[in-house]
Amino acid sequence: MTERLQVAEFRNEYDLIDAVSAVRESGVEIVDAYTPFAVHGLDKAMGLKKSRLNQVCFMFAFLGLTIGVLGQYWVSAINWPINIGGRPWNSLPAFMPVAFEVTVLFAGLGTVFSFFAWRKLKYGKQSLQPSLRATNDRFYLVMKQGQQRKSNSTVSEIIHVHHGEMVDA
Amino acid sequence: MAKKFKIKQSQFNWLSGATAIGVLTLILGVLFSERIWPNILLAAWYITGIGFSGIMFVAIHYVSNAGWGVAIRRIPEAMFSALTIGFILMILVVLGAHHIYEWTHLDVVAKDLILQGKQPWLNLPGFIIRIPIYFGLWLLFGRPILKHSRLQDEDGDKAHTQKSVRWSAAFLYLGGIAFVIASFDWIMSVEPHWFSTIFGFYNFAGMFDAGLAFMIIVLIFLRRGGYLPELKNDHLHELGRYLFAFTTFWVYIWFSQHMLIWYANLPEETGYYLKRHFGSFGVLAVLNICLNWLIPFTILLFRKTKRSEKSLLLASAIVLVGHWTDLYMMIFPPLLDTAVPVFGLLEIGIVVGIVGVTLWVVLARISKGNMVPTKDPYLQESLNLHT
Repeated sequence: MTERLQVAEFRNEYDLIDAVSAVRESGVEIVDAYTPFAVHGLDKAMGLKKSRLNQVCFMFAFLGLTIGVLGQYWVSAINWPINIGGRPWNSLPAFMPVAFEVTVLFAGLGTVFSFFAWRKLKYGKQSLQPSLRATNDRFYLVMKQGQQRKSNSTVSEIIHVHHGEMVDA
Repeated sequence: MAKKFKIKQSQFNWLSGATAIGVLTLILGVLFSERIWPNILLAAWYITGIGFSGIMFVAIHYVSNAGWGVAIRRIPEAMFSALTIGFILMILVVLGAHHIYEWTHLDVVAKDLILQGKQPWLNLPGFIIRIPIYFGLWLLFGRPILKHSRLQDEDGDKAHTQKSVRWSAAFLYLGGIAFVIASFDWIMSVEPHWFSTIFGFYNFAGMFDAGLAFMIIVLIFLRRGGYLPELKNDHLHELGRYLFAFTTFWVYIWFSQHMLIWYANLPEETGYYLKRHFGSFGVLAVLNICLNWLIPFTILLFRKTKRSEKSLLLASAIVLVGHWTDLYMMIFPPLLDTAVPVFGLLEIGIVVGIVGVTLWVVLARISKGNMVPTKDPYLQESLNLHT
């Protein structure tokens, strides 16, 4: 069964943020908001949970650091020790730059691909927009439609109070 | 808008008391101990760094057109007045140059080919002339920025912002170069045989770290006193990010200097680290890394800690102590009779003096104007900050 949604259009981000708070207070569930640019404070107004991507990033970074240090140690001290300028084989300062780069590489790529997997993004995926103007000059709020007629009319009232319009999507 | 800040009588007593302890230690030290001279140099460089980083912060914000920092701008602006104290202390350093700088001893230079080669730059008359040039450059470009900021409070003219942007660009360029050369002149030449081309950036990183930490502490002090009610935790968050980034920058530069010297393994370069990273100074070297990077980095890694006054205060205090340790490691080892770090009443007295006099001049400057630049065109943007 597909859910029925309703879409509201706004002309600026301040109206959108105010409307989001009001709609949430009235008990209607918000599916998503579409804006042409990142709107500060919108995540707070929508009550979005903090992203856990930074924890993923930290874990990948730690993995990268471990691999970077242990890998170099194995290569230059265990598997194929080479005498470079009389330095000890396990010279930690020399490992640092590479370990750092591997850390950054793992953290960066790991975070991006985790995000792709998490959001099921793949090549050729069609973007779902309420309207193409969401990429240009309009702000959209997508909400779930309530079961009763009454709640739907209150939603459109709230939207009108905040200078928005209900549109067909 | 907010009420104006006034130094209370009790605060005045504390600050002037601390300054008096510093001055007293200074006088007694000059009379009775050789060790006072590196202490004065450290104090001079520390306080100059606080003053310089304040105007650097303001200039970076002007040039990058950053709006968020406008509401807190009066604090870094006030820090600029610490440069006066730095200048006075540098004049004292000139008086004691013979106790600090080996290259001022002409008999030593006569026997030393390397020092003879450096003599065109490292000589006492040049050293004395360059001090007012550095401070003059900083003042020449720094003062107009402050002046326009004050004038804008009265007439609200946007042209002041545009003029400040130009002065800031010039300051970042010429003032920055002056800072790098000053660090070569005053600190690196304590060990005249040794050289490191990244030394200026290393000092810049530490100096900016300490300046940010100082700024955060003054900011939280004023906020708790109710003088900056319009500031949100988002402003703390931004400053916490700044501090987090620059502690990491510091360790990055520290490692860059250390690794290249370790890797090249040239005798005249590694001697510097032999003195500092082995023996009892080695403990201090580890402490230096922990205080300047590891501990503040770990504290500020989380979003919550960047937004809380308590953890920011803790991290800032650690960074300030760490910067002192860092400078101690740069200046003291060749000048001590012993191969052991010394920390006695002399150091404590001077540190108390540094804290007292710096806070005093900065707070006195803050109490002279509005708490925020009330008519800056970016003020509203700064107050609406979201992070």
